[in-house]
Amino acid sequence: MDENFKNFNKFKKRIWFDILIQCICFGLAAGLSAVIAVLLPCKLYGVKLLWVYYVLIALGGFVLGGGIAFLFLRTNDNKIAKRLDKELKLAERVQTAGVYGNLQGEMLDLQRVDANNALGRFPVKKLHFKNIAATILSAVIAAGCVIAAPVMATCIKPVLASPETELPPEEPPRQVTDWEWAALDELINYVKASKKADAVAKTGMVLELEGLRTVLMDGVSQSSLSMFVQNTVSNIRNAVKDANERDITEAQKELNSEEENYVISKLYEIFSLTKPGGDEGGDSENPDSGDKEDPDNPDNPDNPKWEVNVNDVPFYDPEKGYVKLGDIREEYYERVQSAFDEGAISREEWEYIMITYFADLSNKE
Amino acid sequence: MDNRAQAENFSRSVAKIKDEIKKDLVGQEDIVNNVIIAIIAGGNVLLEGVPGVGKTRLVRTLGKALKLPFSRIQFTPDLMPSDVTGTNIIEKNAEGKMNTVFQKGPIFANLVLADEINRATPKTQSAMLEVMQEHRVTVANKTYFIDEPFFVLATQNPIEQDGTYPLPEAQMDRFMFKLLVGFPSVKELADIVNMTQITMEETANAVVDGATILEMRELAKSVPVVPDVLYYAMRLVARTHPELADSGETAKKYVKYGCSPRAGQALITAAKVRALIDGRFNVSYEDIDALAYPVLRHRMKVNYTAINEKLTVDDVIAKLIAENAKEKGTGKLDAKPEKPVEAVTSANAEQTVATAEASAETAATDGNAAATSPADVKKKKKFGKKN
Repeated sequence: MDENFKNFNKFKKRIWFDILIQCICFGLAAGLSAVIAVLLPCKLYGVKLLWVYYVLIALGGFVLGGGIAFLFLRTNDNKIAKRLDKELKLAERVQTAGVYGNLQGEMLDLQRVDANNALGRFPVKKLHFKNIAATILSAVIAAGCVIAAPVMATCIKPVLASPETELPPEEPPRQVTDWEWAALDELINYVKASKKADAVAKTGMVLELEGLRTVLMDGVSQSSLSMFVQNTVSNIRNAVKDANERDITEAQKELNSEEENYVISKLYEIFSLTKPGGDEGGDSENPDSGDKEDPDNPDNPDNPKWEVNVNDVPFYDPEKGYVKLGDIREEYYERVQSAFDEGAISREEWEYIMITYFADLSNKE
Repeated sequence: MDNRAQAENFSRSVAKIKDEIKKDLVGQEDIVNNVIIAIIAGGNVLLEGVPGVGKTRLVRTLGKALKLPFSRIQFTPDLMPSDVTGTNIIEKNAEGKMNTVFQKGPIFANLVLADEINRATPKTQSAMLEVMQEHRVTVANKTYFIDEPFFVLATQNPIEQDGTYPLPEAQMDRFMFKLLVGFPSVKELADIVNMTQITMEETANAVVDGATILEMRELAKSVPVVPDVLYYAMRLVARTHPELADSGETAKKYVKYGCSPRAGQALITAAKVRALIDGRFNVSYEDIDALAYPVLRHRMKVNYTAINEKLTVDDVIAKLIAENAKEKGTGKLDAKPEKPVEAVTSANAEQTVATAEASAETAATDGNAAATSPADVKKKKKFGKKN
């Protein structure tokens, strides 16, 4: 740039800096207002959004608001020259120098020097910050949003949420009891030591059982526990099926299948899950099990030990969500028991309720 | 001499002229300023004021300060065109033969004072048209050029309208400025009385010559005007025309007819000079606004609504300027800025004067009908080079 435009460039930098500040303020105000605009109805209607969405909304609003502000506020040398002439009362010196900036001539050179000297008489701060009221307002809005967002996130109740649209509360984690861990380990060791199944079938089953054990160590909910067990059962079946497809004797195939059925039944039994197709957990072909007189056998309805400690396991109340202790739960448990005693519900129904809602098997030990 | 030196010389010369005028004229600074602007811009000035306010004295002092041949024509109802322009007379030559010789009239001067111009008949007034616009006189099919620089400074009395002939619009349009010479203040009046007690003679000294004036004029031509300012000036002129769709409310309400394109030319030319006098090298909106009054006031006519509302032409111009303010910075002229003409050096200016003088001399003495203007001389030279 020509030496004659040195002072002009000083003012130009200052004006662009002002524009940048304004765009940032307008962008912040737009982005944070957008977050508030989304957060408020979400909170009022009880809709939950991931925090990432709020970040994306804020970023989008910032870019959009700042971009629109830039479109309106952007300037060029001619506009800057006009503004300088007007604000500093330079009698069109700067714009003349700008318009004729590319032309050569003695008079034009004189004019440029005159314009540069005239600009040099003013400090850069003499130039007013344009749109100062709007910029301050947008900064205040942005600051207000920053304060309001966390307050709204914590304080606003979902007063407009309808029961139909209310999401069920998050399911609490299902604690795998010590007894269940011990039973699972015992089952794994049993399979490893099994003399019925051949090595391939055993390896497949052991791998799946150990996989289940690993998954359960991360913590699961009741529903996901059920799902993992089902998956493990399915995988065990596939593993044994693959083993039986090898060139082995029919007798060995039968033994493999027997062991498979035992393991699956035991697995359902350990986690107190109902075997699909009405085949209940615990009804295995294990020679050690199936004793109806066994006090641990849940098939025996007269077994008093089948009662559960209702305060140790989560309980889902449709009105209050998951609760762990309380009179309601006790009352509900007693109602189920009395319904079973009176014969109002079948054993299967009773068992299903017990497993689903009061599935604490710790006293099985 | 380069432009910087010329610009410095410009300011110095203007200051000197003002100082010399101040010796003989008290107050009237705006009038003096505008007269100087018009003279440098090459325009004629119509001074309007009641008798005794110093109109004639201003012109006489100016004539002295500018070191230019000065003539005064007192316009009266019986003044004939030939009394202004000159006429052919029969003369005996050395051999005793009779031939016609052109006797130059008082118009053949650099600075002409047309005193009380509206007292002459339209016929005589019309004799001024050609010389004011084209700086030449045609008598009996022969054209004679006037030496440059040439200015007509006319005066007229706004009262005592009996026995006067208002200047026709065509004549009015040839004046760059119409200046209203007002009555001096009491202090100025006292100064005038004190000054004239010592002597009634003008004491101004010649400080600037014709060549310098031409050089200043050429320098002023090279002052750049940005398209926005040019558009602003042209919009102001256009706003005086009530017949135009975009002329604005003021013109439609108060103006009978508007200014000619000469107003636009005068506005820009004078604005360039004003800028240089002001120490700037560019024309500003302020120049246009300030010069709008002397440039437009005699070129437009207000209607009965304005008269009824007791609005003067200047009041209407003020309204037009206010209305035109919104055009500032709009820059609707898409024209790309063109490089302004470069100022000629002092040597060139002198050469131009010499050429004009020579051609005028030739035309006058030889009686050659084929007139040659300075511009024609330049063209011919250029053409000759090509050939």
